[in-house]
Amino acid sequence: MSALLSIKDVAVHYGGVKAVDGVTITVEQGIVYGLVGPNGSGKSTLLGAISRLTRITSGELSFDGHDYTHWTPQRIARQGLGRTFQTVRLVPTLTVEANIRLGADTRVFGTGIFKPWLRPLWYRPRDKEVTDIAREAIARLELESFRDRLPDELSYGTQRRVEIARALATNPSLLLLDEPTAGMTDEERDSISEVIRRLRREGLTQILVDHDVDMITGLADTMGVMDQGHLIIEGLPRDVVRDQAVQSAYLGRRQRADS
Amino acid sequence: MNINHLYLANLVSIENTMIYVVLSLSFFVVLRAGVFSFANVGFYGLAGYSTAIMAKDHVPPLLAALIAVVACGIIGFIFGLSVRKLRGTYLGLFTIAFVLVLQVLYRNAGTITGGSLGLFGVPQFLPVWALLVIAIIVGVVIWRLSRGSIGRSFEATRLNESLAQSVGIEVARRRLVAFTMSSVLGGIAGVMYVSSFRSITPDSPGFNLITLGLTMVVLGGMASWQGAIVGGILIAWLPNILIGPLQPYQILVNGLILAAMVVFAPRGVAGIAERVYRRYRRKPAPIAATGGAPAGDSPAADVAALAEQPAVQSGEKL
Ligand SMILES: Nc1ncnc2c1ncn2[C@@H]1O[C@H](COP(=O)(O)OP(=O)(O)OP(=O)(O)O)[C@@H](O)[C@H]1O
Ligand SMILES: [Mg+2]
Repeated sequence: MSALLSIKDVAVHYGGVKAVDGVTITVEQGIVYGLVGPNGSGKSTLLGAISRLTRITSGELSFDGHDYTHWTPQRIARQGLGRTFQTVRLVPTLTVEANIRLGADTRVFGTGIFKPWLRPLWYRPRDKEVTDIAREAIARLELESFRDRLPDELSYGTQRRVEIARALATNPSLLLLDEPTAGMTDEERDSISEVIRRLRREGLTQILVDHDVDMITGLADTMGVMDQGHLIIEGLPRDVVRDQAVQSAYLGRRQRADS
Repeated sequence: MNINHLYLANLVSIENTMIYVVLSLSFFVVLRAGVFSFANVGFYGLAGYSTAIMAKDHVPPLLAALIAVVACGIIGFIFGLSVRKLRGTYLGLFTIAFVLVLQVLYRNAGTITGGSLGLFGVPQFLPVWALLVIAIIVGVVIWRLSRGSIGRSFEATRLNESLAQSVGIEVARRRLVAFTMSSVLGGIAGVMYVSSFRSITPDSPGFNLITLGLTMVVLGGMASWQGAIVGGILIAWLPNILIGPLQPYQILVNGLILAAMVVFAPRGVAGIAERVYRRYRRKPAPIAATGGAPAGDSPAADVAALAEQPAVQSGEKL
């Protein structure tokens, strides 16, 4: 196995707040890396740093052999890094299907603005390709009946599924999922777990952030725990959940909140 | 009544219709990309004045107009490149300042610009049919830029930048294209104006024109090109609809329309049309599928969202 993603000493500081403070992670090809941690421990910020949407204070990022520390987020996205967001981000004016097509657009059409004008010769065949990609993602997340709906008309759980479908339409080689099951019913939660499991079998590397430790231990090959901007432990899920430091990171917070 | 008579009686409104459609689209094209800019009005004036000045210097007016529009594109591109870090209200204010500074320049450049009286006696070089052709070409270009993958990319750029980036869209380049296009369209509208009215004064490319353009876009429905066109047409014919004693208060009426639309029909005429359409079909209007029509968000909210963007792009909270 080889490392698909490796980040070194990554820090994100907001003034005095050290949201992420010196995190080093290596994610092997084909695994699911589960990331847990109390609220505000820096998980989302770390995903932001990895996807280059959040400016890092220091550290190095490397993906698939490229040092992308100074790349733009759109460039690393086109290189194969896909993601979803903790707060669902969909384009409210576009239908579910159009939102998902958005994922396939740049990969198929490129970033230019002039070539799509060559309608019959250049655009049509590619548009068909986008349609196929979008339909496949729609089928995978069982969104067929929502295709022509607008995001506002959907439940939160369904919106999340649309977002995951869009991320898949980018054909990522690494997928970052930030709390993909938040706000979902148990049934939806199970179906998302199944999607993640199937994607893993197909060889897709994933970083999965969630509060549901049971779900993470059931899905992840490697598990990391963050607390106050640090990665406090990393290892096999069954070892990690038994660890003393992890217990106290969670319990410590709870006691502080209680008092 | 005789058709010819009707045509002549309404000639000003007919010419205004074409000019306003192009002007309205020049507003639409930047707002749609999430760029809060009124620089197009500055380019309207620049193109109008430079055409008039060159024509006075015996440059064939059509050639002069062509040079002016191309120059608008080049300057617009450089302008856009240099303000690409400015966001929201800051860019809005900066471009208003640009418009106002140009007005001061026109007033004080002596015989070159004719001072506060402006320039008169520009030969008409674009007959009415040419105005129509230009308006149609511009409309088609905007339509093409609103459908399919390009339309989607502009929607995403406006409504959620980080999402757009996460799917690989070059948002800064999209905005620059929009800014440049808007400069060119503003220039074209200015050229159409100076040909039709054969004159230009420092007052025409000013704050009133900004209000007028915004009224068009909001009236028609800010998030769709069809709306922008409808808005341009409606505003062009408003003076004819306003009955006698109201006519002197046209600016006031425009303001009232703007306020009323924002409160009662925030998605404009196009929004009302789409609502009716959806009621019949229980499906979104087809344009929504390809990337144009507004839905949940109101244009008022859009404008507000644009205005609230931070001044300079920064690492954002996810
Ligand atoms: N843009 C920002 N400006 C200032 N502080 C920020 C910013 N973004 C995040 N933070 C702070 O950084 C810390 C980490 O936040 P982050 O959202 O990464 O945590 P998290 O682990 O994802 O939490 P949750 O489980 O609640 O999603 C928090 O204290 C948060 O308040
Ligand atoms: Mg989070």
